Amino acid sequence: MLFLLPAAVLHSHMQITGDVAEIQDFDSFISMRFLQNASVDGEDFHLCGDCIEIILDSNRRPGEDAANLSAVREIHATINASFEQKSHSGKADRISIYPAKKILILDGNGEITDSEEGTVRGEKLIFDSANRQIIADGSAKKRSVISIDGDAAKKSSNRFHGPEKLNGHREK
Amino acid sequence: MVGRLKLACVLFFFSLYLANSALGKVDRLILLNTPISEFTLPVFEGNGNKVWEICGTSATMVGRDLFSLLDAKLHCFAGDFAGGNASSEFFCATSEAATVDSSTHRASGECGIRIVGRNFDATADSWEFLGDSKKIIAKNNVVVFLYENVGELAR
Repeated sequence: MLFLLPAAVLHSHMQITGDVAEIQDFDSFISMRFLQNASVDGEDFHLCGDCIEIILDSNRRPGEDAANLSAVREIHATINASFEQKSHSGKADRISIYPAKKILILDGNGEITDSEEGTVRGEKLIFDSANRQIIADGSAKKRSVISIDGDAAKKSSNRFHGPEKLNGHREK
Repeated sequence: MVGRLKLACVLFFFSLYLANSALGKVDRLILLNTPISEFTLPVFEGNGNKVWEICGTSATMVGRDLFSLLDAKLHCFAGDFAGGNASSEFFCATSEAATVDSSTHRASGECGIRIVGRNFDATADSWEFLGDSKKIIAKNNVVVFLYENVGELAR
């Protein structure tokens, strides 16, 4: 099963909408919280939820010029959270994106669907882009790791590391 | 002895009267009946750093500590502004009109707002600014463009 990670999830230009936005400066980061019908739109990517919070790392030190140092540290979408991409879509109670680590976590009734390969469900799905892995974590006792090496997947040699008791099952 | 007590009582109540009169004068509200042009209200931290300031081409007192501004411009600073480092500006917001409460350090407006930060540009129909927490709340038709080069999760 080939599951490409949501490519180009974050872009140099994102449009975020919502009924209410709270933008607040803290000492070490900036919080942008969008409430009610919140959505993030980028190129070939859409993320929505009832609440979306974007954490910008300000990287400021005392007396340091704060310009041009911010970066997106985290994005959290909660309550009816879902994302869509060209060939992938997913939903969960909470979707967290960590751009620097290249990790996307679907927490709580996670589900991700590849238009060609199928669907994976699990209580917690972790997309580890750096290691090309999806970790489906059903519970503390039943954990499985799915390798998403592209070549291997094309040969239909889906590799499940760990116990076969994959709580988050897959289906075509 | 009785005479001294009477005198003391008279003096006591007279001093109370004077104190009440003085307090009454302090408590009296002075409302300016003409607009203030080029109004600026800066707010500083305890260490002397400017935290935020709001300006307007015209300001009218509409109540105690309450101003109505035209062409309002709100600057909110992050970090140390004491050295005059303008790049520490968190955002600059502009709105056609705003109401400012100088006692609670709050401002709000219903005429639409544009908020420009270092890496974002936002618009909304109405807004509220909480100065003490440096939080701005944008409401209705909120659209934020975030200009961040955050890379991609996967290629």
